[in-house]
Amino acid sequence: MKFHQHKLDNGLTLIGEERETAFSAAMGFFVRTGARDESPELAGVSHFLEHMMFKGTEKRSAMDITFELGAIGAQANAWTSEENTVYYMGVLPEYFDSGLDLLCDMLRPSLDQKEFDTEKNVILEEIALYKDRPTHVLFESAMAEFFTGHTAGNTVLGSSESISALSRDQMLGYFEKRYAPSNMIFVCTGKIDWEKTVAEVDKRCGAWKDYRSERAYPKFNPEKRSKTITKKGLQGAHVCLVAPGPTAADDDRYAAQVLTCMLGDSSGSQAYWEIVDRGLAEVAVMDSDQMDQAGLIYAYSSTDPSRIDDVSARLGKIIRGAADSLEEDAFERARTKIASRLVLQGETSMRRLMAVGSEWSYRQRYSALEDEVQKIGQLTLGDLKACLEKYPLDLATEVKLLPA
Amino acid sequence: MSFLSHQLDNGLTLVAEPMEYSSSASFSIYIPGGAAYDDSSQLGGCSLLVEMLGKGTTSRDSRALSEAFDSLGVSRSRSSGVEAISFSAAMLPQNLAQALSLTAEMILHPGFPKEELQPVRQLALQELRSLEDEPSSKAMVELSGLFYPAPFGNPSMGTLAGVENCTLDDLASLHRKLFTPSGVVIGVAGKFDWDKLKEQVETSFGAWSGETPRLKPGNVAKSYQSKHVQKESNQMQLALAYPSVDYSHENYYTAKVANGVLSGGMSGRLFIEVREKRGLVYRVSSSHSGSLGRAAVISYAGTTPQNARECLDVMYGELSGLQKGVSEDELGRAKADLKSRLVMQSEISSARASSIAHNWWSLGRVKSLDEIKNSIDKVTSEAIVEHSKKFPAEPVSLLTIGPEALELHA
Repeated sequence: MKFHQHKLDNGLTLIGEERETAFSAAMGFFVRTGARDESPELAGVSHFLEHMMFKGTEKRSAMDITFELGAIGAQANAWTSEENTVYYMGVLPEYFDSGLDLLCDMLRPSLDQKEFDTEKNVILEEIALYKDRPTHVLFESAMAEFFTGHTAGNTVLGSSESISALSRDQMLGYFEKRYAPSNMIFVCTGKIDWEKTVAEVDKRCGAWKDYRSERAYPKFNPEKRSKTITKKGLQGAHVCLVAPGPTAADDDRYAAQVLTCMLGDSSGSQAYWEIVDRGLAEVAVMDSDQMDQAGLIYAYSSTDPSRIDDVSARLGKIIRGAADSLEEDAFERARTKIASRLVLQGETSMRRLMAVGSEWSYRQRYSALEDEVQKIGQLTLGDLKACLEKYPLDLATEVKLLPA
Repeated sequence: MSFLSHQLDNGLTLVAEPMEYSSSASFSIYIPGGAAYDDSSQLGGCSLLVEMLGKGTTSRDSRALSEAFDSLGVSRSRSSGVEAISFSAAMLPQNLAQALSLTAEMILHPGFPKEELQPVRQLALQELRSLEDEPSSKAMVELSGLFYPAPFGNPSMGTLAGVENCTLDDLASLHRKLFTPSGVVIGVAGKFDWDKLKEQVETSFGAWSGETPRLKPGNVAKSYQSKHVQKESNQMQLALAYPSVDYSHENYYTAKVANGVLSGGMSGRLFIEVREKRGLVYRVSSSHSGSLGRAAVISYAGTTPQNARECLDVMYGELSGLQKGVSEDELGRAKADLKSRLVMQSEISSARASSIAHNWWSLGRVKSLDEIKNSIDKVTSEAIVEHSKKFPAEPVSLLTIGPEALELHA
């Protein structure tokens, strides 16, 4: 494994993790923009814009892009979150250059009005799809409630109203503010030719004009809040608890990862034995998510409406008792699990792309798989307790989704 | 790439693929069983049985078993499908032997602790109820029941009544009946020592005995039906099924490429016509299921009620339109997509383990990547047209879920 990096004159950073024995390669642009960078009238524009990247450039129509991606068998897609927008593709090595040419071109979209109007309907369908999914409804509401007064809780999809009202010019305005070369990175992994990649990206993206893309960081004072929302015709009941956790810049994130594995991994954790194994809920899990100057540790469970209070109380008990419940054996098992998962996830160029890209986006550094495994190996139970002291889980905001 | 295989005296087959650069090892165990083997009054029995197997062995309780796996960092899953029950695991290579031995203990010597049945049943019932909250999953379950004749249309999760009906004795006798080595296939891929692996499998599974006749592959529906499930939802679910050729058929890859023309990557016809040009959906796709004796093309779309009519018409037009011809560009794209997926999957040990086990399970041999690539390359547009005429999209089974019913033709 070999790491490379290079910065173009306009501020675009290129990084690569080369693995000569890989059968495939992956590449992507990681743009530091998302729902939290939207003003209320633009709600959903980051995600809508992500769709529009596939809908034509000065040189290519939407169909050209689709057919060229198809011709090289590219496994291409994109996603948008509260603070990142990522465009990526996996290709066989012989198609790397064609893929790169396409991807670089796509990132300067023409935002054709007719395509914009058609794609708006696709977004409205996507919003309707997620409205039918209880977990999505719950998580969106829980994030908004937890981040009350802070933009990190903004909805990624936006609403039918905000999307319907959005104009092509508003989207262009957003693009011109957020897609500066210094606000994104180009990442590639697997079977790559680094020198050539640098030259090719420079040729295509070197002339992109740079400017400053700013992100606002409103002050965030997490409060213990609770809320119940309802949905007609629902059979199950769902609960989500969200507490402040380590941020992306905070090294406590490793401790948080082991901690949530001990408390709420999908099997063999405290939540598993206390809730799932007893047949009280089909799912009871915990995890953490590190964001840009924000972070959260969350718990989620889905169960029968008749058991929601019991399950929620049990989750609360696990959270409150966390500091005194951590035992050496369980700690060892959790570390072993996480270390094995890291190795298994390193098997493909695509999975490495996401890990390497996210590491650089947030921390401007490279971390090899072995280094990550080592970080987990060096943790002590004391580190987990320190993490809990810094981020007391009982500050959790609770949101329930029940049948109307 | 070379495959290794070894048959035990009791009929169990071990098939393995070494992966030179892999830093992991994975296995997949296929056992004849699943929803098609369920008693009609106890639908969901196999699914409950598989859950119970995780609840402890004759020498370890549920927690001890789980902790033994976790101490080795084994990522594992077990599931009960229509015609196969499978146990899969991925781990660091040095833990392969112990993981196999633990899995053998779980499969061969279940403890069936009495107190664990109630929670297992309770969760199964809950999962059945929450299926109602997941319209796209619900659509697939309903479509299978509509399209496949019994017992192949049985839902893997069972039914509320079927799950309620199963006693611990029923599950234990189901285990005795189905869990025999005769048709079992174990696929292993990644980093391993072949001689040691054979020895390990002999030690763990060699003493297993008995024989279970495998179900004869079923035939797909002779009668085609439509069904509507009424539901107040934001989107309608549209799901269609019609027959095709199975994995053992010489035209299997023609059917796969044909499906690629419809739904490969982002450049398939369904995606372009239904989503890209008309904006009628977020999700639209079709997949080719090659299960022996009951292969089918299954198509799906989720769309709001006001778009549903047009969506179904355009979709159906594309399914039947394959007969009219396929351009060379489309053919090239469908092939490129299939081959690129194939290569990318071949980097993941768990995907390889499951794929070679499935190959052996269906064909009694393993197709090499080169053989598959060759078969894909040989497919012509004429062959696709011919195949589409032989296996047309009409008659078709149509399943809809949502606020209003929809007929195939307006």
